[in-house]
Amino acid sequence: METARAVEHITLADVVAKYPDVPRLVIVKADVQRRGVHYTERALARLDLARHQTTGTHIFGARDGQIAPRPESLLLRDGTSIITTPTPLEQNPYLVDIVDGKIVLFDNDEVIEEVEYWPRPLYYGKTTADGTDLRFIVSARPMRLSIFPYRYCHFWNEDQGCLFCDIVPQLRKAHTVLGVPTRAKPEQIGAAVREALREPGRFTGICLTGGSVLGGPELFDEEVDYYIRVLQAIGANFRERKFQSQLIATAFNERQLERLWRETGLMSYTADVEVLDEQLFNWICPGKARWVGYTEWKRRLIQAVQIFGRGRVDTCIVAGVELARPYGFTNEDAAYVRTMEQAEELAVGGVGTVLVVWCPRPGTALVGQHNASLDYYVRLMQGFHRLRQRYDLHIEFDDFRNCGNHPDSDLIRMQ
Amino acid sequence: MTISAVSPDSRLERVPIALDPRLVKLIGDKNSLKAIATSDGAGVPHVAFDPWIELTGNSELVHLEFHLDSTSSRNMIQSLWFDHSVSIAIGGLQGQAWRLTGIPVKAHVCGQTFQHYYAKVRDKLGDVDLAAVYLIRIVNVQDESVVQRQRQEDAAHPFYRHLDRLVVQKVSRSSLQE
Repeated sequence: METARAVEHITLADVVAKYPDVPRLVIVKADVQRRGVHYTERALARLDLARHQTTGTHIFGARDGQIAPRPESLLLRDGTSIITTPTPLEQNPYLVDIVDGKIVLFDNDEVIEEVEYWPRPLYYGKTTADGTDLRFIVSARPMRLSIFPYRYCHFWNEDQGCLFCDIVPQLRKAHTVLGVPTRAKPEQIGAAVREALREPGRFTGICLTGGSVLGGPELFDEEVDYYIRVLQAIGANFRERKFQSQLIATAFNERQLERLWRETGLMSYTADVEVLDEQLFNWICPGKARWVGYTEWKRRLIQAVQIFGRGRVDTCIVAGVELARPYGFTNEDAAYVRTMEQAEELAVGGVGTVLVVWCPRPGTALVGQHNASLDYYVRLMQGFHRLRQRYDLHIEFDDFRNCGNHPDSDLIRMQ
Repeated sequence: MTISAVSPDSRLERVPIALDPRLVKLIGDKNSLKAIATSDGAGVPHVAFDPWIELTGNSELVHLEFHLDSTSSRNMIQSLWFDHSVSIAIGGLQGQAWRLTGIPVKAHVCGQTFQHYYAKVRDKLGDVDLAAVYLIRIVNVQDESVVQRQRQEDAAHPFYRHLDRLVVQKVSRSSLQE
């Protein structure tokens, strides 16, 4: 039986050669996400706080558990981002170093690729009226504004947070060390977006996400109400009612989804199922399982297509977590078959599936485990891409520009 | 870490090709004609006028992609990903014609370089968008003007010539009239 660890000896070059139809750069991206990065002293010395973005704004933490300012992430020469975090050397990350004056990914004495640090947007360094750093209200990716209106997740109240997630430990750390607010005011967010958009040619999309909020007359109503107020405050900046935006949130019911569509400028919707197997969902996402349930989560996604439209709804899996011990698949082939079968069921209903590479981080229940092989990630990338082609799901709201965290959706550029 | 282990064909190598000054001048001439040909994964060709082509200080070509959802844009990213060539034609009003072969090596989608061209095209064309600024490494240059190409072909392939071009002109027209 092939296990996740049994194929670890296969190199990047082997995988690139095995999949000639998959761009090498996209495979490099997935592998760097899989293994993480370590910045050498020379690479850190190249970090220019006036020109580059640094870590600290994100809702999730780094693989080395530190919050010290490092490069936020990397850009490849095809314009795609590698969203990754500093990783302890003993976990065998790629090195980011300086060679011939250029910033490069380095591995096994070989330059893999030239990279760039993310450019710092002009609004970074500015503050709100009460002195809060704007980047903690609205943070930036190379082409996207990321907003984390509420950084706490109520599933954690009863120890039912997702097992791969560190949202609450990271919030505590970021709040204590950096002064990141737990909850931003809608008018602050609207003003921060306005300031960010003064920079021409920078941003193509806005993404909102945060923790689940259980309260309200009906379950999650408080979460929906808050997002509506935030989206309305952002929308006041635009002359068109609908603006390029993505909400990654809990799986809401039809009434709540209708409100989001009708009362705001929101254009796309994502509810992350995290793992495409009911038993594993119940184990890995106990809060989502208890308050919504696997079958209902998928049903709500498909219902959302009726409201937001085909190609405007997707879900994400934390790829590799389906192989986590002790209850995950022990065989990558079986995990692949199950995942693709479930993803196809969603695709038939008009829902796209994308992946993020699982990174076992400190502060999560699965810390110390290993993610899957590179070969497995490339198979999933191809599989999801083919499904989207077959079912005509052009999820451009979650592509290399408007997200950048899904190696599989980078392939939309060829679609 | 041994930097010397970096192979000679390192992915950082970008040795600029030496360009004929006449070509450099023509690329910078706003009246010259410029077009770029790309192909998709199946080899289907696509050609488009490309008046925005210009040279960088490193003798790479700058090519602007206005629309992300265009054949040219899809072909360009595939060329960058799979090291496929693109072909660029530059023509002048006096019959100059050059063909350049290149490989896209970089796509700027954000940052200073991108924003420079974003402002430039919007200044000139109004409310248009810009998807990417590609850098194309030139790997081959050919002078395609008819006269120059004729000289080359005559030298390399003498059997291709019409014989009447070789007839000795011993008697002038004026002497025949006498």
